[in-house]
Parts: sequence; structure tokens; C-alpha cells
Amino acid sequence: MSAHADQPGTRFGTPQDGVAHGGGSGTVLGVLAEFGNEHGILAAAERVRDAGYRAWDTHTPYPVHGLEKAMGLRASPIPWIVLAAGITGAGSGLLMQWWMNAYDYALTISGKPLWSIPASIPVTFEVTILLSAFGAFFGMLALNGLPRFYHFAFHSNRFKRATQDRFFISIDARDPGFSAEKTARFLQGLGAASVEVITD
Amino acid sequence: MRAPIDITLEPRRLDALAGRIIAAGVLLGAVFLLCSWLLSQYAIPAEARALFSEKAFYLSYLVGVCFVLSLSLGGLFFVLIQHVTGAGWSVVVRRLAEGLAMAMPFVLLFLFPVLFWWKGVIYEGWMDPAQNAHLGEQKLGYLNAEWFSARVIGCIAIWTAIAAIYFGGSLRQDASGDPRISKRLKFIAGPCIIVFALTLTLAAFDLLMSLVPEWYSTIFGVYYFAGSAMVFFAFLANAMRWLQRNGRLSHSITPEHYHDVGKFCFAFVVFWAYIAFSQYMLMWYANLPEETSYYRIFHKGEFQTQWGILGWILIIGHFFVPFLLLLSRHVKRNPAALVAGTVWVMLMHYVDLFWLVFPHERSAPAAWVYESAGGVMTSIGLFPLLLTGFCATAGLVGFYVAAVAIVLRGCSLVPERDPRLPESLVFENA
Repeated sequence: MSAHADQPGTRFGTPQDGVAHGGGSGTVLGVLAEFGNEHGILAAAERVRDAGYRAWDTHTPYPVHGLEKAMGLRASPIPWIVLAAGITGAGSGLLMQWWMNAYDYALTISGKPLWSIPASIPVTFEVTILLSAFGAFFGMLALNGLPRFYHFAFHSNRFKRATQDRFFISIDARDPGFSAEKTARFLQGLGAASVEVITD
Repeated sequence: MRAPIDITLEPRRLDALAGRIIAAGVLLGAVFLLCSWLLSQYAIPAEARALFSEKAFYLSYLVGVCFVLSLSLGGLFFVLIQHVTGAGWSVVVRRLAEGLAMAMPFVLLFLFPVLFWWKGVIYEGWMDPAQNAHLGEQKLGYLNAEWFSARVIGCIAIWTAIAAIYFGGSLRQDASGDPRISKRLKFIAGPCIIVFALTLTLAAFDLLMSLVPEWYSTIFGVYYFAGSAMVFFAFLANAMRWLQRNGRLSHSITPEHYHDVGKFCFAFVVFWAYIAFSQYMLMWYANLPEETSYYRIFHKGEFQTQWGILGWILIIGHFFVPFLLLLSRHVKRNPAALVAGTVWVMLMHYVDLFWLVFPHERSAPAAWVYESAGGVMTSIGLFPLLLTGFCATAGLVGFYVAAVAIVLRGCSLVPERDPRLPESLVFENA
């Protein structure tokens, strides 16, 4: 096997079945499959999607075009969150300036009207952008379940290369269709460079 | 990633279409220009015509020429930006932009009547010695008839030269497939963009801003540029759709390319609004008489309320409607929906140019509000003038499309051997 085999914290199963075992000796947490390139993971993700798995994810060193389609992800609700946040920003920006300049502390400056749209547009624009950006950023974090400090794949030493040059599919043991042996064989059949069963 | 498309399997030349476009363009162009002239003679009441005379048609024609000039400038800008950034996605639609840019000499041809016969009437504010005394020696040193024509012709000559370098280089690459041509064009694109920005500002000052010689705005060139880029992308989306419906580039242009052209159009809708508002707000805030006079006609008085409607059409129709429409990913990826949205955008660019030219007419308010036979003060009304300008613009667009077909009739509609063409053919938006 690869040079990673002798690193601490990783134990490997019998070479005959070709499936490695990473992590501790407790309950099975999930299965991790490694691919050498994006074509491999795109093809594999389609098969995992079609096999009906739900609690699974892909991990790649860079955004792979078309992966969301191969994974069968639904359209993100982010645009609607951003739109709602932007409209809120525009409304509250206008309201804030009206309340400050025309209502709570009315003060005439160089003969300008107390309340005028042109003078209020820059601040309204900025508040719209600010809240839209908040909506996009925090909405994205919340929908992704971030910040997240633990994932069962962290037990694998191979997984460190997910940020360098390797592509991974992880299937969680909590998936209703999961079975350590069957799922591992299934992933192996998809052309994975290596398959690891991760235990606690 | 999608499977690569073999472009050699589909028609990618205008062939028989070229003749049809040229015939239809010239015919429609002539009909619409005639309509515009007839409208300027008969849709405007005789009492008003006595004050306004032939000028309604000349101003309409100027709006039309500025419209087709926008298309060529937008095309040239697009070609330069694609080269300087080394863009891959756009290669399959770049030849169309090169064709629009290369139609620049025809735009000069369209400008000849203005430069040789009509400029004394159109630009009477600074050309007529009886009206220009208050402008001062320095301004008149710059704004004089010969120097004006020399600048406009010079600017178009420079743009034609740049367009010829890029179109010619692209055609040579079709024949040789030499990737060094791409590198060379990329190398000179940066300096060309600087020259483009400076000359565009000069031309916008001369052709449009000098209609109101007392008024000035340093951002005016950017304003015209923002509208030009916007209308170019709108036109490009329509051209792509039309070619595909006529069996050209059916497979090489995909929803991904429509999506990106739509994004660019959307971006310049927003950029236009940003520049238009920046110009307005600074003048509103500073409240200097020589600056606010430009906008005052949209605010006060009896006859000006009509121009006020024009201002609202622009705010709602030129910004909010296309903004909300093109915001949607589904609209940008659906060619039929994108065409509907971009036709609207082109219409609004016309209204924008009309807004720059007509309300500031020198003989106003006398021409707009005239004394009718019964001794009652009446106004011409916005609609007859909008229609006159629209017909002139439609006529010039007809001639312009014929010119583009003349430019593109002998070559492929895609840069056949551009080193980035394969990238463009399989490109997908993330």
C-alpha cells in the first residue's frame, strides 16, 4: 500500500479485501473513499447519488465544476435569504435616516429639505449591501452547518491530502442505507484509489 | 465537465444569411428614417414647427447615431477586456463583438451628415456667434466647428485602427492557428484600453455634452460608456439568439454563454445607475446654478412636467425593471427570457440618449410650449418626439446591422483556431 500505511493512528485491514480501517477500534463511524482526480470523483458521486445515499459528502482541494449536480444537491436558498436581507437593509437604512434627520433631531442644513431621497441614497445603498453580505455569509455558514470542529474523516491520515491533491467521498454510518462492508465494497467498485472504514 | 463539441459539424458562417441581413437592414433602415422625417414634419403641430423647424429630425438622427456608436464602442470594449484578462469563456462569441467593433467606419459614414451639414443647427449653442458670446474665449477655443469635426473623426479613426488590429489578428489566427497572435493582442490590450477610455470621453463631450455648452460634468464620458457597454451586451444576447434560431452556432453557444452575457448586461445596468446617480447627487448637493440647470427642467414649471415623466421612466425602466429581471439566474440562462429582457434594455438605452439630447434643446421652452391658433399655450407633448427619435434610431440600427453583416460575411462566426476556443466550448458556470 502507500507510504501512509506506517504512519501512527492508522491501521489497515487485510490486504486481500483491499479495504483499510482507520481510527480506533470502537463503533463504525463511516466510510471514506479516495480518488486521484476530479473526473473520478464526479463519476463516483453520480453513482453514490443514484444508489440513494443521503448522509454523505465530498471533499475536494478546490471547487470542482458540476459536482453539485453529480451529488444531486438541490438549488441553494441563499439567493432568497440575500434578497430578504437586502430589502430589509434598504428599508431600515431609509427609516433610520428619516427618523434621525427629519423626526428625532430635525435640523435644517444649508436650506436642504429635512427629508430628501437623493441625500439618503448613499447610506441606504451601503446598509443594503452590508445586510446582503451578512445574509450571504452567515446564511452560507448556517446552511453548511458551520462552524464545525469535528468530522469522522479527520481520523484518517490520508484525509489530510483533501486540501492538497486528493478527492474524497465520505458516507456517514448514520445513513439509513449504510452497512460498513457493503458500502465499502460499493465505493471500491467505483474506482476509488483506496477505501477506508473509519471507527471510533 | 461537458463533452467537447466539434464545431466543424455545424454551420458557422453567415453565408446566405448575409445577403438577407444586408437587404432587410438597408430596407428597414431607409423606411424608418423616412418615417422619422415624416413624423418630424407632420406629427409636430405647425405652430411649434415654425420655432423648431428641421431640428427635430436632426436631433433624432443624432440620437440614432449615438445609439449605433454605443454598440461599436461596447463591442470594442468587450474585445479588449477579453484579451487583457485572457478570458476563455467568451471566445465563442468574441467574433461577433469584433464584427460590431469593425463596423466603426460605417458609423463615421452615418455621422457625415451631422459633421458636414447639420452641426451648425444641432450645436447652435456654441456654433452660432449670436448665442455663444457668454461662453468665454477659452471654451470657444476648444469648441469650434473645425476642431470639433477633427476630434470626432480622429476618435473614430483611432477606434477603427484598434478594431482592425484585433479583427485582423483574429482572422490571421483563423488561417494560421498561431497562438503568438493571442499573446501579442493581449500585450497591447492594456494600453489600448487607456486610449479607448480617453477618446471615448472626448467623443461623449463633443457629441452629446456640448449640446448644453454652459453645463459640464467630468463623469459624462463614463456615463455614456456605462450605457454603451450595457446596450452592447443586450444586443449581443439578441444576436446570439437570432443566429442560433437560423441554424448558426446551434451547439457551440450554450446557456452558459447566455448566462455570462446576461451577467455582464446586469452589471452594466447597475453601473449605469451608479454613475447616473453619482452625477445627479453631487450636483443636487452642491446646488450650483450652472450645474443644477441641467436637471432643473425635470423638476419645475408647466411644460417641464413632461420631461419629469422621462426622468421617472429612466429611474424605473432603466434601472429597477432590468435589475429585478436580470437578477434571476433562470432568466439569464433562458435565451427567450434573456432576449425579452435585453430588448427592453436596448429600448431604455434609446430613452436615455433621447433624454440627453431633446429636453436641453436651445429653443426651449419656446419650441415645446407654443401659442396655438386660438392664442392658447400648448405643448408639443413627449410622445411625438419620442416616436420621431425612435424611428431615426431604428433606421440607423437597420443600416448598422447591414454594416455588421458586410464586415462578417466573409469569415467564420467563431475564432476558429483561438487557443482558448476548446475552453470556451466546454465552459460551465460554477
